[in-house]
Amino acid sequence: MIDPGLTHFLIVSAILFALGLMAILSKRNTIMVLMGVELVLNAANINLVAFSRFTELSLDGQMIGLFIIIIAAAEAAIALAIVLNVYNRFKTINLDQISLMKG
Amino acid sequence: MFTLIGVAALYVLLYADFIAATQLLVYVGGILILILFGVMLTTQGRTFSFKTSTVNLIPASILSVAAALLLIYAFVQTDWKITDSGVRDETVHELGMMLMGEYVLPFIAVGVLLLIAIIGAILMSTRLSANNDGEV
Repeated sequence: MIDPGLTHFLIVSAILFALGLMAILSKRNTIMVLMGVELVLNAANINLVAFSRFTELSLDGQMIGLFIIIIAAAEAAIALAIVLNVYNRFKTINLDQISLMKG
Repeated sequence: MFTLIGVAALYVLLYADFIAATQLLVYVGGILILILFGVMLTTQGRTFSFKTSTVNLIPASILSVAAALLLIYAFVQTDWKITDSGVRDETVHELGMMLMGEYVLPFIAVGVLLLIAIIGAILMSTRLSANNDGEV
């Protein structure tokens, strides 16, 4: 068994990023799109922590990752409140049916 | 959920124990429950089966696979300057010292931001229920 190097973690994070991007682009349920955003944030976080392990960006990377987790929590709270408001008004959370501002 | 726990396991592999614990607490304990509540509160009707309508599947797959391949190519081709920092036993003490020293201003800022975000979310949700009651 070989030790995982920097590149392996970066590849995992690239795959996670692609899956998140695919969820954002193809799902039409707002909550699923939010999950995709969380996946993208997680991918960025894996990158930061991997660089903090393997390069001379020592603990600063972990610190930035910590702040990213906090921002993600705030974002999820706000976004779900917005989703609940949208559902209350439009009675749907399908993104294609919320087209009130379409010209 | 298993994705998020798996990410936490990766952090443990990277000698980032505090980040792994935070990931478990915040994501699995917080955000996942929040999303579950969102799903439950926005289901339509009693016999609603939670179906996720998927559109643009082929262009989205092509685009994301292209992005993944591009990223992997860039990551593999780049010659990273690897300085192995060895085995870290614990990061909590160092992270705490950094948080109270060098990073004290972002720490305070992010605390205030989180407070404002939670207050805003509560405000939006309570206005929602007040509208339902027809009071406001």
